[in-house]
Amino acid sequence: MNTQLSLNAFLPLRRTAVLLLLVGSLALGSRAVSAAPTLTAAAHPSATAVQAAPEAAPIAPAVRARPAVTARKVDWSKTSLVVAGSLPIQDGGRVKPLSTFANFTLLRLNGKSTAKDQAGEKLDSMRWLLDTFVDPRRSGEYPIFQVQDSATVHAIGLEVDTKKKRDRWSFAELRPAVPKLFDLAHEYSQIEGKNRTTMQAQVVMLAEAVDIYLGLAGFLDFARMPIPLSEGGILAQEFGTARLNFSDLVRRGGDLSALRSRLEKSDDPLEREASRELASVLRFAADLGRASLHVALQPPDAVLSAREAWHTPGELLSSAFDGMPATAAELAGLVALERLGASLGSDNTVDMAEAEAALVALDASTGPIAAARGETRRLDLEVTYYRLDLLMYALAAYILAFVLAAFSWLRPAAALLPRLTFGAATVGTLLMVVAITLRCIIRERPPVSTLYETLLFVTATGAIIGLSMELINRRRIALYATAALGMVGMFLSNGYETLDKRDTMPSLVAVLDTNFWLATHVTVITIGYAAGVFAALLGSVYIVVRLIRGRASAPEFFTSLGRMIYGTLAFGLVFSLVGTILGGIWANDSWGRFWGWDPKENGALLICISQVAILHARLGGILRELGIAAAACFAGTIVAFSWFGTNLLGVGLHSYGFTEGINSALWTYYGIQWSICALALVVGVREASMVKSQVSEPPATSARGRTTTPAT
Amino acid sequence: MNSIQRTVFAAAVVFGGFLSWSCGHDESPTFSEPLTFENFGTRFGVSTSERFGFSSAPGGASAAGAPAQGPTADAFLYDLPEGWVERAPTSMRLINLGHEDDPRVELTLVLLAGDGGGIGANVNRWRGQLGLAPLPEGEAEGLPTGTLLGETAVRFDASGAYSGMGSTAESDFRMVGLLAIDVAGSAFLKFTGPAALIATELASFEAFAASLRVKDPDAAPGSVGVPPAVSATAGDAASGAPVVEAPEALLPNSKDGLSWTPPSGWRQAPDRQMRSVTYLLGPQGEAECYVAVLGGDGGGLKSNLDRWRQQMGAGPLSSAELAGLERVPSLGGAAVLIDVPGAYRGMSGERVEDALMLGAVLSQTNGGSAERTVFVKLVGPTGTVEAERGAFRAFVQSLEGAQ
Amino acid sequence: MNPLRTIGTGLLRVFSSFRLSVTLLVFLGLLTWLGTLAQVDRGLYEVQKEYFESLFLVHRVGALGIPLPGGNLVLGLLAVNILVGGLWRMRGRKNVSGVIVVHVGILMLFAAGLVKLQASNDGHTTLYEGESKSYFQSYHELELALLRPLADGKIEERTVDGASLAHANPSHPAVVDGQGLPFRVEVTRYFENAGVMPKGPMFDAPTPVIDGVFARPKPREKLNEQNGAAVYVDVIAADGSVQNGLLWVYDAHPWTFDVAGERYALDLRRKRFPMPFRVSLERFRKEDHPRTGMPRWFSSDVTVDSGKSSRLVTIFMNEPLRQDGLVLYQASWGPSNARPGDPLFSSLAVVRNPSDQWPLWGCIVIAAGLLWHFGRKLIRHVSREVARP
Repeated sequence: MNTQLSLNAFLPLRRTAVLLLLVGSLALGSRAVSAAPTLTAAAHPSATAVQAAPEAAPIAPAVRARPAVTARKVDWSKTSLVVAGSLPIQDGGRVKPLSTFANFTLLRLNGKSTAKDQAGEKLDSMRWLLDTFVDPRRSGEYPIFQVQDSATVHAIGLEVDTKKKRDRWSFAELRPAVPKLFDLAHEYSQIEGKNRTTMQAQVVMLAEAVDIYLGLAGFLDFARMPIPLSEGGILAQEFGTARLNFSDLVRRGGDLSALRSRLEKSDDPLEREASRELASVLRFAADLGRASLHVALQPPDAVLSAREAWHTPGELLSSAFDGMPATAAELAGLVALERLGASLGSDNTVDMAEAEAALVALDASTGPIAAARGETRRLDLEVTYYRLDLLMYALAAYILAFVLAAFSWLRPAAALLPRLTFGAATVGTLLMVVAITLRCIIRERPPVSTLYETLLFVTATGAIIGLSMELINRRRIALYATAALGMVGMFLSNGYETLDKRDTMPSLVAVLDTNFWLATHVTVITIGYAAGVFAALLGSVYIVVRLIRGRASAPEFFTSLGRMIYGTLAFGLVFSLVGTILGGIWANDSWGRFWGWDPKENGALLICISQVAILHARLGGILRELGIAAAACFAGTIVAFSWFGTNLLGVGLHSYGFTEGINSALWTYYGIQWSICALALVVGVREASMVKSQVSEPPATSARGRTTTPAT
Repeated sequence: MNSIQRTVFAAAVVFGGFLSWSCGHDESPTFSEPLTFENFGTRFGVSTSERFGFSSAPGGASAAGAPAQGPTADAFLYDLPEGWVERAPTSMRLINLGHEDDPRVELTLVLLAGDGGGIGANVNRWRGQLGLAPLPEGEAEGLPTGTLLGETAVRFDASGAYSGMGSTAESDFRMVGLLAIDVAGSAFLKFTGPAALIATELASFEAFAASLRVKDPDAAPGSVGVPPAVSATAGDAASGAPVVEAPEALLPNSKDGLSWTPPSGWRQAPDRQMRSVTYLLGPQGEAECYVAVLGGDGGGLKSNLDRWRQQMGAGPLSSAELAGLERVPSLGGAAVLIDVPGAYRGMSGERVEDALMLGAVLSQTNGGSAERTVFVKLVGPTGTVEAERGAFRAFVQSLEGAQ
Repeated sequence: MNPLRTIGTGLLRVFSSFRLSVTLLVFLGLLTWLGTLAQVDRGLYEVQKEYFESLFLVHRVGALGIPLPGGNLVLGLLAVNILVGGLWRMRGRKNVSGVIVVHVGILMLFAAGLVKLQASNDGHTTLYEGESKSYFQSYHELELALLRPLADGKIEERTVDGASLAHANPSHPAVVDGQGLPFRVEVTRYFENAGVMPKGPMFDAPTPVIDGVFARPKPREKLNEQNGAAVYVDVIAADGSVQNGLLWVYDAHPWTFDVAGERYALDLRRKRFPMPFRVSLERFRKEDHPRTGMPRWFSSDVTVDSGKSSRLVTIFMNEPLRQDGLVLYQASWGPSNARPGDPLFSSLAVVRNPSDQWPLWGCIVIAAGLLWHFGRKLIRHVSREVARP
């Protein structure tokens, strides 16, 4: 889960950065570059970095003057977008559609899954990714790097006067500061995550973002830049050309490997010298290939290989040299990528028809293999899942339900409004159920295996509990609570996705890779969470209404609501207790101890204890309706502590900004619930004094009456 | 009995019960009855340093903190003088020796990437440790020199009150050392201890410094700090003013695993850094010919030839020109010959306007990859060199691998 | 009225009361919560001992000390409360069968915990491929072992619990009697966490230097298993001659000494427990999710040889090996900095726990009881509500 950078993470990065700078300058200048300087630059990245350095000195004014905005002349064709979006890519340990990859990558950089180009036009994530692949100069102008704090920008030596404190920067603006950024990030990444200052954490995050961007923008470098051979040299004779395509190099990999060992072993010093040129050509090609370290679009051919890892172009090259020749399909894929790269004309406009043809060819080369490997079965479903965006519609339905509910409070007599509310809430819940089911099918997993999915599942389960309750007692209380819970739950899950910034369907680490325990322990305990949260919500409603109206106004309403709280708590207890013990049994099977007093275990225990204590206090007459409502509110904060709070105790969950966001949400919830507990005290004291003044009133309204029997 | 009393009583009963249950037992420890076990890798009679991982003895997993990168302690060979003891290397001290007679004596070898601030800064740092004032600007560069790991090194010798790493100062200490400083990497050999003991052990120190060498220089060229390319240019830099000194008794005509026959009239010059041999030619010794050997391919044929051409004011070779160079058999392979007329500019600024350079590059291969490369270069005024052209070719062909 | 009877009834009433249940639950909750927070600064091991496996403790908030009942006390009282209030007083009441079942299940969990606390050992056995062992080693507990090599290559071992040496200091050394041995062992210094380093000329060692090395005390580590204890020992022979040794948990080999022509060695080490069988690691397998460093699967193929029979078993995550009262789990592997092709070791956690499966049965009992009790209530409630106009 942790994104701690490895110590050396930034060393290869720097190389990539340098290459991109190189590519940028090539693209800017003439595209015909003689062999010598290119090879030298590739072999000595520091040299290029130094060349880039003079640019870095007078950053301030130079950067501010944005180049003339050229509006996009031609957009990507619909076919291009659809084909590209459903291309399979292996990322994060699984095969997913490129559209998912684009979505979460942009979310990670930009803090949202859409971007704006330099002219302010909105771009979806797939357009942005295609621009970045094919036309890096254009996408370099898009302000997509979200920087939270101007101190970060100061630290890497950029002027901030014309930008707001929090703002988005384009790669072109950041580019002069990239060497410094990587240096600093390398330094800070050696500080343990939780000990970093805000600025240090932001620098590391920005460097990660820039690195991700460079990996994408440099992906087609190999396709854009044919490799020059020295004139009249042995290689030029061998190939009969002065320029080599990357795919030629891969196709001839075996021959070249043989040629190289022949030249190296030759007695003739001149032939040995030619082997040096070959070596530098290969090094250059390998550097180009390395730019695409994370974009693995090509599956290993099922017939030839049972290997799991997909290939990047660079890996195909090194395999070819290691005696594993590329298959026809792999070569066809490379050629298609080269066509895609070449669709950027010398006038810096993209030939959209050519790009579309290249994407279709790429899909034709990889799709069948991936399908034969059985890795694309659920790919279309995933594309559909994200396209349908059921969760957004669910949110809309819950909001509608909530608004309708609010209106029906104003006009309690109207019969239609509650029905509509019920309808909207039911639609929202059904959409959630469908969405969760789709996710289960796509992942082949039980509904809950990540923190994000607990949010979806708790919302859906809470809503189902609420709607069932409404069906049973038809008092509208549960209905209104459901609308509120659904709306808040969906907002929170959206917020979580935005904060987390990564694929919400990740691969799972070894210990979690067990559908049996995910289906039992995790599902059961999450239902327990849902019940706990819903009970707290009902408790809050009880206290607030009793504060406003007083119990005497509608005793039957309060009795009924009290019973609902009790029922939800009892329901929750069954699941929390069984879920917690199941967790212990799982721990016993994977680590050898049933109980280890670890924070997450303690959190689950606290939920059980709180619910058991409330039920016993009720039986013992220590708490009555009001007390139980207040205790349910408090128990809600215990659920929140166990659910999210325990994860924040140790090392930061993912990164500074992320923990920060969860922390504030968590404390807001604690604050609300504790305030409501305080209100309960006010109600209790007020009603106790009323009892004193009106002795005739039976003591049933006392919150802490000892002598009365429980109100079951 | 009211409820409070009952509660207190109950608590007391329970508490008492727990106390009696939990009361400690304070017996003296005793060994258990002996049991017999199979031996799972326990060794008896292991030395202290091996037990705690301070020696790199085979089998003992080294727990001592060796530096993660760069050369490690066992990259060096040396002859340990009598009375000296080896201590565990630290991350900085690749060699860490002491003396039997006085634990305060320390001899350490430290390698740094870069020049550590230059000669002056390092010398003054050491002087500071002895409580001495820094030397005036430029004076450090004038200190006597010696050799450390084959590199020219500044000799340091001073006495004073030594305060090492923050401990109290030890009076009447002496520090002798060698500082080989280069931007490519620097080595520091430092010998510290009571002045009297240092004086008696000075000869041992010299012998130690002379014996200190890299275990396998070819395996890790440059890992001791000085990459071959840098060393090669350093050699050229030193090739400035020809030494017009009467040659001393001729040394045997073989060195560095090479043997050769010097043409008549060539006079051997004193040994120089990075060179196997240097000869002076011509009536006044105005031309110079030397042989240098580098491990591996020495940076490649073309880059070396181009560097030579550059010294003569000529541009790099084209592929066609490279292909057209003459080859003669030598050392079991082919030597590539080059001649470059032009204006010679040495690294130290000397110029010979009408000059000619004759060069030969030979590589000895071992199953494909170059094992080592031999460079022979003759440079001087055109007239002198033209006259020696035949002698040069004969000299190159006379080179043989010697055991 | 019989005063004893009064007291008895009173006790019963106190111990069976809901008031006591709620009080104890609140204390347990408080303890759990504080114990969770305290782990952030102090590490699990220490907190577990102080908060959960104790009778009393003082929780510190700044300079303020709050006395609290410890986990053992609260849970002990809770067990009494459940017995008396949850079972004994329930007899003969109506509609409480489910509740009684739940309470029985909870008591089963308590019993499992008690048995585990009193009668279990845990540790690990760590093997490279091809290696075999017939013991496992504690993560935390220490022992001082006196070893004597035997002629047949085996070793005769006598051990003494490390905890009994912890108080040793130069003025009050811990004297370990060796019955029938020609010497006695005195532990003169004990450091819970220390590093051993060679003495250099430029500093003074804070502790005695033995053979050029000394132990430098270090502050406790948060993770107890990272503490490297060290002891100084004197071996005093019958003739009064003394030999000094320095022992360290992380030393590679024991300290060897000779007395009266016999060879011995002393070793400070994590406590070892013999296993009734020998485990050999045949093959360790580890798979990552493709193109990531995230482990997806690791497993150890081991041969278990009990002397009479031997069999090949695969141990992997969530699938332990249970044999002869011991359970072996795939715990971890290493070295963490291994490169592809380097030999890897597999670390198997080993637990001897007689109550291993009790929680599972307890869970089934509890679930059944809860479903029965609340299910009936729910059905009654729903039918009443639905009948409501």
